[in-house]
Amino acid sequence: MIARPRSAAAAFTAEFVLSCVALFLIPLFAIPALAASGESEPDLTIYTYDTFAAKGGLGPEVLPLFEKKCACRVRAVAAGDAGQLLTRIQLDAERRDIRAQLVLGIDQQIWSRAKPWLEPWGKWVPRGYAAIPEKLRVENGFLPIDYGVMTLMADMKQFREMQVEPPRSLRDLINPAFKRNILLQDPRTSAPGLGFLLFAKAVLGKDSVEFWKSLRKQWLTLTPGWDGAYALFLKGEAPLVWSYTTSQAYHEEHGDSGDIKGRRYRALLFREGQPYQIEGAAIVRNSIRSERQRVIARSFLEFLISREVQTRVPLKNWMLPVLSSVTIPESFKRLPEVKKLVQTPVDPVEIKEVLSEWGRVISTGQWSTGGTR
Amino acid sequence: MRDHESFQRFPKSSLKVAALRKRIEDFTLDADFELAVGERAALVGRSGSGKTSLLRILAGLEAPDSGTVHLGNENITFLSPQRRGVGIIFQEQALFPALNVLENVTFGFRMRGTQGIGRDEYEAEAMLWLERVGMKKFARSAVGNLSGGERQRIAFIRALIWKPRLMLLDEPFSALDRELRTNLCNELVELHRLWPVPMLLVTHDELDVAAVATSRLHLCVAGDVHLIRRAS
Amino acid sequence: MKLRPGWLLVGIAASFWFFLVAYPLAALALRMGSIGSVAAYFDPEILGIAAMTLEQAVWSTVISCLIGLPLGLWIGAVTSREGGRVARLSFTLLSLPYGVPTVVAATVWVSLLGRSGVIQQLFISLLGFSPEWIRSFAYSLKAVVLAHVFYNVPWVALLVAQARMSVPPVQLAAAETLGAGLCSRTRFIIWPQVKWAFASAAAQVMALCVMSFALVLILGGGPPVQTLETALYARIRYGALDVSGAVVCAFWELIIAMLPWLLILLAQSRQANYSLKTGQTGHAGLSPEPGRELGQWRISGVLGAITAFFFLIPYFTIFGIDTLKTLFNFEVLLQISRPLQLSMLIAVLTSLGAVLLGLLCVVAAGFLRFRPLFSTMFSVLAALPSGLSILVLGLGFWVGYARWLDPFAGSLAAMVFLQIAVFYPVAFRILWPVMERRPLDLLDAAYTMGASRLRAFWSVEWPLWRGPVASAIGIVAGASLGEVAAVSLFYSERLVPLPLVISRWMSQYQFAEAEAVSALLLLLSTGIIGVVSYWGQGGSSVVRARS
Repeated sequence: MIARPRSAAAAFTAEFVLSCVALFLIPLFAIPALAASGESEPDLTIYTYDTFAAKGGLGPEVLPLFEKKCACRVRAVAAGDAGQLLTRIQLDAERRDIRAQLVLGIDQQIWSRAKPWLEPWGKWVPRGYAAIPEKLRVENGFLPIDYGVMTLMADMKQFREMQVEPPRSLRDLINPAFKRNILLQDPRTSAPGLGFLLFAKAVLGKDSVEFWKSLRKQWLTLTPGWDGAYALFLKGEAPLVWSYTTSQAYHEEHGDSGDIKGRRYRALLFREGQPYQIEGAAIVRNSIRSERQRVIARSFLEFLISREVQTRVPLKNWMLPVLSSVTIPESFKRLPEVKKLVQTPVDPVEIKEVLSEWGRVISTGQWSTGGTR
Repeated sequence: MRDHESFQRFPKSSLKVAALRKRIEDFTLDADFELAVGERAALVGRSGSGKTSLLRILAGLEAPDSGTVHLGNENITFLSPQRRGVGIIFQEQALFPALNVLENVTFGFRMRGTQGIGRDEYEAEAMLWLERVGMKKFARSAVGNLSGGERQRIAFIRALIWKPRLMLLDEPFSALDRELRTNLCNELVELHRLWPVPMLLVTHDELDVAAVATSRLHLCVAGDVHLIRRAS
Repeated sequence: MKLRPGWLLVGIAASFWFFLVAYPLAALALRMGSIGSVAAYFDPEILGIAAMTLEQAVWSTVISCLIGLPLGLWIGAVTSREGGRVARLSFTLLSLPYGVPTVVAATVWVSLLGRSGVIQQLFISLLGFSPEWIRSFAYSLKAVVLAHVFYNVPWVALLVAQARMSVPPVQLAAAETLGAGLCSRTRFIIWPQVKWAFASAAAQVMALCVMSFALVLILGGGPPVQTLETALYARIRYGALDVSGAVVCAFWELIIAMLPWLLILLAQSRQANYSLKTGQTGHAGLSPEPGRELGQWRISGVLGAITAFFFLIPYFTIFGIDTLKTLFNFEVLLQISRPLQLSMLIAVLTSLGAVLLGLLCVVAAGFLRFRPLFSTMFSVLAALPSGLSILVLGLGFWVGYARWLDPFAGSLAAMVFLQIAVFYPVAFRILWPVMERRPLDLLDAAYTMGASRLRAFWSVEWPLWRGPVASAIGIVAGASLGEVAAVSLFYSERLVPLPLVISRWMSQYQFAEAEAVSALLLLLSTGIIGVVSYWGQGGSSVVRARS
């Protein structure tokens, strides 16, 4: 059967018009995605890590409280992770276009590298700073907000199936029983990963080179970030993942409750102690444009170590508050007691040397995962 | 032209098509005829009437629904094209672009083997054929550089040089101008005299029929059956 | 002197190319030059990474070609016989894997090969244990190669099948009657037609594997299984911005990727010469053989389509019941609506921009066709982005446009332009054959019948362009949806496209939601490519018929 031909002119018109309409309509529907809020310049701009500013993070909850208090406007700009925060302020300084007055989310390792671009407090000390334990204070200019103890998280269900005891020390990790059972992060791209590397160096000293050569056969994979490793851990890919003790609290709050021995996810402690990460905030050098802005910036720093914020830290950031007087959730009280916190190197030159040494050990010679490529 | 016995793989045979039937889309092709050795028959009909299908069946490129095809005493109805010994010239010439003129012409020798005849010998044979049609100087040329008429000459030689036992031509002159057609028709007749096997020429041009054919097949449409028979 | 329109087009195309490609690369090169020490280029760690980059790329390419070539020849033969819907379906299925976001692909392979994955669980349920070679497969070089092979075999098969389809059936018929069996027909007729398309496909696969990022990152098991791309990313996205280190990585990546890229150009020029030499411009000759046993060919057509579909099967494992439930949760949908809109906008802008630029280059190249030196130069430079990774080019944007571009402030324009720079060669390759076969005689006929240029274009030429243009738009849009590198370089808290939502949710313990979004991304990117490619092939068949 032959189809009746349409009128050529009608076909021409219809196709031409439809094409033009489609071309214009398609972008139109997406304009709301870009709709500018039409906001005026904020009184204070803060560079933060992504999860602080994201929905469900600490930022959306506490910033409105502060804005009400100070009758000002605060804008949080998410700039990635801690390392990217450093890159952000470096680039701003290089371009002489400093956009933010505060940076929030750097840790003690990043602080040592970021100092040239951050402003010390001078004689001013934030109200409430004295209440912060000595071990959590880094240096004048760095305000600790929360901290986390890094450790291995264990999936006890897998350990029961394997009928193997979980590791109790760092050196246990090179035990053949744990071959391809450990998830770690790449120290070049992950703060926890770097924490593990520096912890091994601090504990083992010169033996750390041999330790890494052996550990190469033990890990299942090195992920670029904590999230990738933890996702694999939850999938059941390996029973051990480098994380924070507070991950145990997270699981308890989300259903993994009951007797500690019966729980699936447990934070392990090493005989040698645990490394820790202190997250904090600082003022960006040459960023303050007026005395009012300085007052607001300082007020915000004080606000961060106030009870209002510190009580929210555990269940929002899944880290420990720096104020020990703050009541923490029961799940946090049941975290294993860390007897020894290990201080890891903070000198940037030393960190770079350790990373280079690690890179040479890992990238050359025998392959990872026990000879299987 | 050398009529080297060693180049001859197939004896000259007559063609017998008996009650050949094939359902093609909305009609049935029904062919029944014979062609003698040396006969050049023309089949004229409108486009889409089944002429090309008949050639494809005779060449072994398609199978009939029923009926038989004999060359001499051999039933070749379901024999593969490679073993059938039928030469076919297509409307588009179908020269192989990756091979030069000489390689195209000797392709049949290379494929079928030459019973102990070396490459030099069959290439020499090919050069003689090329010289006959004035194409010797193009022996190493790419086929893409040839004109329509030159390509058609190469197609003729390629189909005939290895001595097939049946020649089929599917509108070989349709894309050529009148003067060239006339020349090629004459050349085809001359080449056929060198190896006078049954030949079936499909065309819709009466002048081609007059120049080439010694006999004629008719295509008659009876309802949804297209009959191909000898003209009385 | 009056400026001819053709030179104007060449100038405009060259300007775009300068700003999108040349200037960023020049900025990178200047930065490379400023790295005082030559020893920096021969750092043992980086050389080791370069060696691994080359090794995994070579293995992946060789295996992909060994499987893709015969598969493509077979599918091409089947679709050549069947034609119509079977051809369209098979080619569409073969083009779909190109749209799978690599991040999603990596996640899928973890689900298949990992300890908790389908394959290991299958062995455990059948044998009671999982063999060592299976357990050690995941997070290794082997896993990376396997994932690359599944990703690239369809592309090789597609290009080979398309080339195989362009072999005129009448030549094969003639060869048969001259006594040629299957091997001889393949050797003398099919292979000369297919070989340059195959070489081009192999070179493209090699370049893609050299620039592999997500698959290596997630499946490689960490160092030493890493590529220059992952090393480059580590140096620009974390910690003390090591631009010099990143530039050294980019330098070696350019060197290694340049080799297959040069081969692509050689293959393309040889393919063009082949067409000119043989006078063969397309699918001429007899239509698919009528009268063959219908049942027989339909079965092989179905088998061809099923084989093409085989390479998509692993990706469907992401669509679990739980994933679908999570995806259709109102909260989740609400949260992803804005990122989804943004991703769609980026995809639309990128595809339109890439196709427009591709068209501009095609028309300019057509104008230069009869000036061989200019034409060669133009083709070489236009195709240059094929050998560049988006991270390298993005690094060039950073370095080159630092004065005007603030990468951390987020820039939709930068995301879009970077993607356009990388994807427009794809559009160019799809559209160039249409330009080569412009129906000048038909246009002349239309003019003589009173049609204006616009009406003649719309009636005569546009039907030939429509399909390939739609295919190009679809393929680029689908690829853009899943593209992560450009968006991760220039995102901000207000510009978070869908791929970045995945990583953000994962860092907030929202793994189920992240997986659901991965599934959505897969559906969108492959769906767009599939629908537009299938529709677009209606136009391609017009091109073939015209030939």
